[in-house]
Amino acid sequence: MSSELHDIKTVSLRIVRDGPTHNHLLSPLTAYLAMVGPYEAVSIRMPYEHRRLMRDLSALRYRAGTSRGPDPSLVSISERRIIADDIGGIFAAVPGLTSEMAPESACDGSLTHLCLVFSAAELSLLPFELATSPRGFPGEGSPLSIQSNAPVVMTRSIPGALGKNCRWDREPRVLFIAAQPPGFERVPIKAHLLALTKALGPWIGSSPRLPGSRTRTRRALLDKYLTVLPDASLQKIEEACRRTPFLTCTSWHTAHCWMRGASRSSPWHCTVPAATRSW
Amino acid sequence: MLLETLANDRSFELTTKDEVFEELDEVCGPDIEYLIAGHTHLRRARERVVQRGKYYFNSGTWIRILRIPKAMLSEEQFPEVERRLRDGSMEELEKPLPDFPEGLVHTLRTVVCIEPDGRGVVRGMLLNIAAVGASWRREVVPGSTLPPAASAT
Repeated sequence: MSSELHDIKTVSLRIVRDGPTHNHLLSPLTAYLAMVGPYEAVSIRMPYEHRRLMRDLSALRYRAGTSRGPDPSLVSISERRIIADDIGGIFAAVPGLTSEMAPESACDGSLTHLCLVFSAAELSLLPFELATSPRGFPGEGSPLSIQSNAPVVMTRSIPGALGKNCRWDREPRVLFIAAQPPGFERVPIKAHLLALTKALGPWIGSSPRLPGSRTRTRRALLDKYLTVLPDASLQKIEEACRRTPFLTCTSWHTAHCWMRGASRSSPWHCTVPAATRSW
Repeated sequence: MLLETLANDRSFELTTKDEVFEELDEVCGPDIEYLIAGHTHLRRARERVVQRGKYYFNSGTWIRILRIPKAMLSEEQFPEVERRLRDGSMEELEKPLPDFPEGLVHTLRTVVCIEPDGRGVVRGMLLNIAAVGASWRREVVPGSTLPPAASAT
């Protein structure tokens, strides 16, 4: 492998959407704002319905001859090309990006680091690495990631967390709330408990008894970090919050809720038994 | 807690089977010669489980990652690590440590390269994009070439 010297040119494409990061599905109706360096921001839309992209992604995993997963023939070679062209079209819709990626703006032998920054979680589904190099980009018409005219490395990231003050040395406290009112199907409490126990592994250890604490079982350690209300009511939640050594509800780092139940008049309200109100 | 957690930690070893590998190995067809992933912070180069002679590469991340060398967990060394962690600034975390010039936080820019070698055998490998002053150069990550040259046919 050659070890000749190169320069690296970093180009950041930021794509942002109004609203929270999560809980959005891809839709051609959603407008995003794309920004590159000092260039004017432009409004773009993704050429995908969520369901169609999920189908295409599954088929692109080449599970031919296996019992699970869709047949790759669901996405033909021409369709794969269309997906790649569609993704390339997203890049082409940002004029500032075309200017920055133009081969003549890069020094000979340089490596271009195309940094994709998303504020919208649903964009992480899109196979940007599959993009066909659009007009004005190096290797026009070829796969952008592997064209040999001017090497491009694509990375993905989320907007920086500068200014966030995250304390790493606090012990976690998790309140697990579950309720299954009569008439509703059972909730998977055991599976969630196992997942929470696994997540708390660094604090409770992986062995039943920890060195140096023979009398304290792992269960006792778990109780320190995890409080479980398997048949929660508002009163029990309130009492659990009151019993903690801290006085405010913010002493709970996480409230993990799993509840069945919804009234027809207010479908977004979870109900718990013996509650005088819903929330 | 750190001593216990990191005692058998294999997070940074190229061949470790992490959750991303296991999931991708299962959902992706066994006929794929080279299964390439990225963006999961830890680089990988290993043979797939579902099919021998097929390989998995993960280019890791290009953002900074935190790594506490095991040698720094000793009673003599750890107070300095703890001091830097409690300080909370990136500058402190990036400062060189005794015997570890990269500090606690460093950047591993890795790319996946698949190309024929001089004998026409196609091989995959991880390349470091290493800083050399203001420029950069590519270096093969030791142990990442697959299939290994010795087993080439």
